[in-house]
Amino acid sequence: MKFCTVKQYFDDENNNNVTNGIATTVIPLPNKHLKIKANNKEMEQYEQELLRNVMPQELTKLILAANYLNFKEALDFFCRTVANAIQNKSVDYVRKFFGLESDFEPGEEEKLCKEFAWSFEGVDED
Amino acid sequence: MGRYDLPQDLVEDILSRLPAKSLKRFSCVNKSWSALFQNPCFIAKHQHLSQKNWSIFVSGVDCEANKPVLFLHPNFDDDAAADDFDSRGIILESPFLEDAKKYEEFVGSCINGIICFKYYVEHNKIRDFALWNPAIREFKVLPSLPIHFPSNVDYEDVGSAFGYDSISNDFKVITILSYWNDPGYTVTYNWDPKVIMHTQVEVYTLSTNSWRQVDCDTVSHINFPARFREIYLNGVYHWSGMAPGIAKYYDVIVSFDMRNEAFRFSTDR
Repeated sequence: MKFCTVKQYFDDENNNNVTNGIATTVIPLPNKHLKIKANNKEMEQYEQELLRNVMPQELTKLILAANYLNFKEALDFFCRTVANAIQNKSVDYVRKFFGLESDFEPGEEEKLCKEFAWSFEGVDED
Repeated sequence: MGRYDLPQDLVEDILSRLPAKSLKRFSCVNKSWSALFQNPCFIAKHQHLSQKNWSIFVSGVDCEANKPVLFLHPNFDDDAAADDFDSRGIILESPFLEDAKKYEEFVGSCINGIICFKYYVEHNKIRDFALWNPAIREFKVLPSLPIHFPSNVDYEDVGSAFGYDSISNDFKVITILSYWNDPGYTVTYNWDPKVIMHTQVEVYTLSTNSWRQVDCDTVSHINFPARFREIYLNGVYHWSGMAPGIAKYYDVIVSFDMRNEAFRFSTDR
């Protein structure tokens, strides 16, 4: 097997990070990879189909699962998908997504937003 | 930390895949993200990832608007991109287009996302240079080129080069000037063998933000009539030139290595 933590997953009772739903998404990936390894476009289409109905927040769980299973290709794919999903989002969206809060002094954040005003053009509505 | 919050290393993995425009905007998320995006290690990682989508840089002229336009195209490894040339290109707005009297000329190609161009005001021979990073919309005007010959002597801007020194990790701009020791002599394309031509070469390095004269004795006898025939390959610039022979001029290729800042020339003679 490509990654040994899978056995550990099945043995591990205390497994909060990897639910059954995720297992059906993550586990089939290595077989699919082997079948269409050379063809990037086909793999891309398969990956997009797989994640079509997955909300970005769910991706966080998938990333944790792939990280736990030490499955580098899936981790790379999920991180790439999250990056594509959030790249055009607002600052507030991203804060909520990662569970962060602003810690700027009053006025400091406004100053930064003004300095990089051009980077706010064309951002998706929340 | 919530149950499904990502550890810092995974957050950084995701962030290092974002385009520069997103990173600039997300500098407003919080202080630690703002600091992260300025961290040299993060920048290096981000740059390494974005180099996989290397672009082809093309400059042209919009005849209707009478201004230069720039296109950045994605890597043509993908077959689809080759069919879809127009829509995959990005038109870049140069920061100097506001002043209609300034003429711009791009020096070399786009290196690590940086573009170099020189510009001059109409009827003025003195060029200024600027470095521009279109991804983060920042540009830097270089200090004025130092001139080491009398102001009453005519000179010609032979050519410039923009390159990257992979050993010192520094961007460099090179300018070659030819000048004549006869104050009355004006540049034409009919070379007068009695008037002695001299060459001055200046190199600008980004890390020092200054110009420095370099030795060009190897090539000071060479004329560069074909100003725009240049190639930059593997850290070395190549120009075509002509060297004086016994009865006539013969073709040479002049090379400048960005790393050791040395000239060489080769010929088929």
